[in-house]
This record gives sequence, C-alpha cells and structure tokens, in this order.
Amino acid sequence: MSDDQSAVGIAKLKRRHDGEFSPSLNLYQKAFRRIRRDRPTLLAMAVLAVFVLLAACAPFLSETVFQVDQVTQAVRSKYLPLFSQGHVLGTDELGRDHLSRLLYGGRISLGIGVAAAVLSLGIGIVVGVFAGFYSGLADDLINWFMLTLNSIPGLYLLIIITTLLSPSPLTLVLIFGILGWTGTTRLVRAETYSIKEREYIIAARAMGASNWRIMFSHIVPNIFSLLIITLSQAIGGLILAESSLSFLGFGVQPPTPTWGNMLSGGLEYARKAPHLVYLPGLLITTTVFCLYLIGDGLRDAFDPKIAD
Amino acid sequence: MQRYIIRRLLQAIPTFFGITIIVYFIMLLAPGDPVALMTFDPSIRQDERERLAIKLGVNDPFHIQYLRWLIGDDWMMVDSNADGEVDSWGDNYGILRGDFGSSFKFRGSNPLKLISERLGATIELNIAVVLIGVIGGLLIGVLAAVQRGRAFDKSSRIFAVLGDSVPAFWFALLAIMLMGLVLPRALEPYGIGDGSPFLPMGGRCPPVRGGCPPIYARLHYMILPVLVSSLGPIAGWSRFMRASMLETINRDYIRTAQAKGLTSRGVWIRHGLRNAIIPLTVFLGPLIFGLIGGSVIIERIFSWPGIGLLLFDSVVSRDYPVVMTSVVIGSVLSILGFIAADILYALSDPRVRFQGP
Repeated sequence: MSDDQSAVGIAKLKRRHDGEFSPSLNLYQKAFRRIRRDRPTLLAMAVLAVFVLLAACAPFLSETVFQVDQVTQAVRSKYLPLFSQGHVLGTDELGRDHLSRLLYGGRISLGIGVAAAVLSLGIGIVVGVFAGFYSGLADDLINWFMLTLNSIPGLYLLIIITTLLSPSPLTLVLIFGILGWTGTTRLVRAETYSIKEREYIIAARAMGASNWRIMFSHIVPNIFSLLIITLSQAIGGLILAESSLSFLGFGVQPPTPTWGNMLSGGLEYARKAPHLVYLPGLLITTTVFCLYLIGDGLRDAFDPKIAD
Repeated sequence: MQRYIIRRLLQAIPTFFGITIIVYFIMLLAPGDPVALMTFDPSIRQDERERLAIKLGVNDPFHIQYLRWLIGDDWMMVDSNADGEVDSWGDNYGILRGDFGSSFKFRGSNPLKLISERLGATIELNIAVVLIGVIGGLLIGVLAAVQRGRAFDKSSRIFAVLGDSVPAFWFALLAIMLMGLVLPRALEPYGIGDGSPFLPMGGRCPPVRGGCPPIYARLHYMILPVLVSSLGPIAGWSRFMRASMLETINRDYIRTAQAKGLTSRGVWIRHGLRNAIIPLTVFLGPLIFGLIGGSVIIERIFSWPGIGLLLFDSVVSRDYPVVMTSVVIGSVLSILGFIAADILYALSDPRVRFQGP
C-alpha cells in the first residue's frame, strides 16, 4: 500500500519535473525542460555552438592562434597532408592553408544558410498569414503561384538563375530566400486558417483590434514554436543546397571559400590530397546532421504527443 | 474516379501556364543575345544580323515574344525580310504544338528529340531508386516500429537523419573511391579481383556502337548510382513508415485483432502494415519530384546520360532552347508524378472523397 503510494508520488514528482502538471509554466518553459533532458539534442546543440564559435572567430583563430591566412599561396607547399609543420590541416592545390580556409568557408556557408533561412521564413510568414487570413481570391492566387513554383524542380531553377547571375554570397542568399519560402507559407497558411476561428481571435476582434494587429500579434506568436523547428531544418537544407550548387559549379565562385566549393574544388585532387575532400564533406554533414537533430528534438519538445 | 482524374488534370493546366511564364521570364534575363550567338561568324553582315533579330522577334514586347514562343506565330503576319512591314506568315508552331525551336549547340536539332533520347535513362534510374527507396524504407520503418525503443529503432532513427544530411555528391564520391580504389587495392593481395574497380564508375553501359544493350545486361552499371541516390528516400520512408505504423497499432481494430488471438505477425503485417502504407502514398509525389530535380547531381557525377545531365550541359554551353525545353519537360513530368501519386492514394484509400472542391 505504502509502496504503491510512494510509486505514485514519485511518478507525480517526475511529471512535475517534466513540467506536464505545472500550470504555471508556459509552452516554452515546458519545452525547455524537456530539451534539458534530451541528450542527443543537447549534444547537437553543443557541436553546432562550437562550429558557430569557430566560424565567428575565424580571423582571430587563423591569424593569431595558428599564424596562417587563407590567401597566401605557396608553390612549394602544395598538397601538404594533415598535421604538417605550420599547417595543421594541410594545404590545398595552391598551397593555401586548409584550416583557415575551412574556418572562413564555414563563416560563409553558415552565414548563407542562416541568412537565407531567415529571409525565406520571413517571406513565408507574411505571405502565409495573409493567404490564410484573407482567404478568397488572394489565397487562390498565392496558392496557384506556389503550386507553379513547386512544380519546377528546385535545382533546375537554382542552376538557371545562378548561371544568369553568377552569384556573390549576398545574391545567393537572395536567390535562396526568394525561391524557398513556399514550404513555410503552406505551413503558416494552414495554421492561420485554423487559428483565426478560435475564441481569442474573436475576442480580440470584439475589442476592436485591427486585422494587422490580429495577424501579427495574435496569430504569428501562436505558431512561433513551429517556426523555430522549421528554421533549424531550413538552415540545414540550405547548407546542403549551397554545396550541391557549388558541386555543379554554379555557387559562390572561388577564391571566396565556402564548404561547398572547397569540397567540389577538392574532388579533382582527391587522389593526391584526400583531406581536401574528406574534411569539408565531414563538416557539411556534421553541421546539417546537428541541425536536423535539433529540429527533431525541438519538435518532440514542443509537441508532447509525439514525444511520448 | 474518372471525374477525379479529369479534375486533377484540369487543375494542372493553370500550373502549366504558370511554369511557362516563369521559365520564359527567367530566360529573358539571360545575358548575351541569341542573335549574336547564332551569328558568331564574322562574315555575316550587320544588316543580316538585324534582319535575323527582327525575324526572331527579340525586339517585340514581352507578351508578344511569349505568345510566339508558346503558341507559335503561324497565325500572324511577321516581317521576314526586315523592311519594316509585315509580309508573310510566321513559321513557328510554338511549344504547345511541340515546336521548341532548335538547339544552338547541336545545330538545328529539335530539343524535344534530344530530350526524348535521354528520357529513358532518367526514368530507368528513377524507377529503380523509387523501388529500392520505398521497399528499403518500409522494411526499416516496420522493423523499427516493431522494435520500438530498442537498439535497432534508435540506430535507424540516427541513420534516417544522417541519410538526409549527407550531401549526395559527397556520398557518391566516397562510394566511388571505396569501390574503385580502396577496396580493390586492399583486397588484391588476397586474390580477390585484380586491382581494377569492382563496379563501373560511371556511364549507363559500356561505350559501344548502336546504343545500350537491354537492361539486364548492364545492371551492374546501375548499382552505384541507384544505391547512392536511394539513401535519401530510404531515410525518409523509414521515418514516415515508423510514424505511420506506430499510429496504426494504437487503433481499435488492432486491439480487436489482438483480442481475437491472432499471432503477432498476423496483426503487424495483415492489419498494421497494410493500413499504415495507405497514408504513405501521399509522399510518392514529392519523392518523384525530388528525384527529377536531384537527378542533375547524380547524373553528373556518374555521367549518366539522362535529362539532368542534358540540362547541365546545355546550361553550361548556354544552349537556351534546350534549357527551356528541359525545364518545361521536367516540370511536366513532376506535375504528372504528383497527379499519379494522388490517384494512387485515392485508389488505395476508399475513404478519399472524389467530389469536393
């Protein structure tokens, strides 16, 4: 009897620890508590944080700590293997230091991924909320446009547009942003559709809130958790897309390093210097893997139904 | 059912026109003008160039150019000798009647013919990938759901995320290096192989005259490209299948089946699996779509002569008619893929209503 009671008590305590039973916690606090106990997600976050930190400190690390830079070429020290004197991660086909190029490349790859994801998410939110809120003709038009854009294979469009524009990192961000918003829009539109009939929206309207206010201070905050999940997956997808474009030769053009164009540039020298292929590929895979894991972890944390 | 199919096909029509507008608009932004491209020969006189420009209609307003490209100009008078007056009927039939102009690179050949020569290779590869991807994904997903929470389940989830995050071309390259270089060299001393690559590193068949032999004679050429490009589909489908399976087995009819005393295999396969597959047919459309887009990369790295590689080559050589044709054909294939998947879904689930908006 007392055993049973203590078992129930422990179960209750455990649930309280999860935040399931404490009404004082909001969605984000509950999610935070769940994330705190989700080891794979935490690990992925830690790895990603290290990458971001390394990329952010690229100039300091390469110039001050390792005393190398990414542009100096040296004919005598081409294709140096890993752990060479003065070049910890070897050198590439022009004798440039591989480590500092990886650091600077990470800066641009991560930067492109984050900026383009934020841009496409921004466009997606605005268009999606409008389409869901004012259904009718506007909604039909937006739907038709999205359907059309989504029927052209994405890589085809990307290839053609990037050949026409031969992009810098900034234009690449714009291209990705302008082509990539449809997924978010569809999600936001569907959510808006279901939210706009809820009582609190009717209440807000009764209090005299404008459409604009209802859309952006009542509807958008309510789908914010979904957007965080989408963001982490979008960044991963965009980093992959950048590397695919670079592989085909249409991405950011060398000598500006990105992980994608370093990897595709290294393919030619794969026999002489395999590290030129392994390392950038490994970095891309690890980064995207972490981002996808975080996305999965966040989804579980925000949606207790799936987590159980 | 017929009405449903007809409605889906009708819905595709505005999409198709949207695609042609987008494609045409993008190509208008293309640098370099087609007249200069076609008259690279310095012996051509300037007035002949101008005549060609008028004949091609590059100075017309956008909507006229678009219409001439879309439905042809044999219904209107054009100025064929560039004297400022319209004098004869046009001679283009427009893409709607199958006239996609002529390729710049392969002098005068019809882009549609170039594409239809390559289409078989792409379809062949993608059918194999869909089969392997779906079957492999279903198997892994079902096993993971049955073994829920155990080691296999956990590792299959990690594998699924990993499969999504590897750049396809990098994975392809690692596979090529492994099968072509590392393994043959490592195994040669033990009398396995003679140090030459285990599998063909690219191409669709040995370079012989008179086209490729029938498919069963060159299956080994397909192994690497198919395995590499089915990694993503296997990963995705194992996830969908696991989720769908777990949702299904919580249903009442599963409990009933268990209560009746069916064996657990009977419950899982006959009642669980068959119902869990139905919602997955929704993902067939996106899968086919993704493969058509992704084929550029796989075909490039394995020199597989499909439409992805054709698109790549013609983009590089600025062969705009072929580029436009491949994008339009690729998009039409995607639309058809989506429709086919929807119809399959409707067929497999009688609860789908054929009426509706």
